[in-house]
Amino acid sequence: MFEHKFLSWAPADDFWLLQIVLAILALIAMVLLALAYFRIVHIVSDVKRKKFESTLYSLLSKILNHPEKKEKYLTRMDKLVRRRWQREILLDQLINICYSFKGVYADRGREVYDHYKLSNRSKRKLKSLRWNKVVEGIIELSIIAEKGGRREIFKLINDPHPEVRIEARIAIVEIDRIQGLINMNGVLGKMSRWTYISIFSVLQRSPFKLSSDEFAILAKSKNLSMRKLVRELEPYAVVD
Amino acid sequence: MDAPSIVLAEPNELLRKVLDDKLSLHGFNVLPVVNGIELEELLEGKTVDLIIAEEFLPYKNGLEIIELANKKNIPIIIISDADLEEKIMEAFELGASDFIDKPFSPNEVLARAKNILKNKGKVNV
Repeated sequence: MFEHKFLSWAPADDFWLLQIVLAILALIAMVLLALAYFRIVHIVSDVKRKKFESTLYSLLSKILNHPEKKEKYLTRMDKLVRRRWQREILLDQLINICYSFKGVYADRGREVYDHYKLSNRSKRKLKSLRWNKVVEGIIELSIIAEKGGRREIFKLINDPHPEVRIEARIAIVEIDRIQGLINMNGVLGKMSRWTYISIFSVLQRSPFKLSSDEFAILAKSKNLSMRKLVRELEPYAVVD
Repeated sequence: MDAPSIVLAEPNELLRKVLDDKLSLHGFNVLPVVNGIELEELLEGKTVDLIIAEEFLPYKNGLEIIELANKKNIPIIIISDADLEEKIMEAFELGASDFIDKPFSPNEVLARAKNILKNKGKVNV
């Protein structure tokens, strides 16, 4: 039946075996091709991303160092930042700016955040079903938007998800410092060790003033963790 | 007088770019590096007037960088995220010329760099 030289060695009964071998070989070839394709796509997108980042850093640096030409550089940035992933990178870098810089440099970073109305994006993240997105939104709002995101974050201080709860409590202190602690005093449940340490380090990051009244309010808190925290904070605070 | 040269050791690309542009704008010759090894290699081959370094550089921590700068007799400004009193005192005891806490202002870095270089007779401003 089979006259072909290559196939005729195999008995007709075992032909199915040959078909399986050929199918496996074809499958391996397809997998290798797919892997090569994805690798190339990955390399190309990586190059694109690096090029984008380099141009973005250059523009951000110009906006920060040459505020008088801000409009010109923002127009260029408008042409550069178009896609969603590009806005996410911009957001990350604005967090970087506002976290690392203070004074006019941080303010100029906030102006870019406002220009792109990125606070809407950060606030949308707070409503996400994924806890990590909510945490991302809290961090963005507390570092960049500061008081602008306080109301939305405050709603999350007793969130059922522990990570969201911790980050919201830290953010409230990051935004309002001692007043944040006082605002949370009545609604704060049990404080985890991590929240405790984080709040302590947020307050320690720059000198803060604790008035006698504020100290009295917090020292009489019904919350044990809060009382403990305030006792620890006393030596670092400037009490009037 | 040649433009004073400043080594800027900062691993974060954006912060490096902002500080590099700021210092270059004011006439400094900025030599950016991203890690401790690059910094060490650069100091082997070049004479520099000042080092501005992030405390936690890859491959070398702040205290190792200060020792490196001291060996070459180069003033150094450390930028740090940990404003622990102990750490600041340790850095000064080891010979750091100045210490800047995060968050900081690039204007402050420029002013401090100018001050150190002015005392060294490297800038007139």
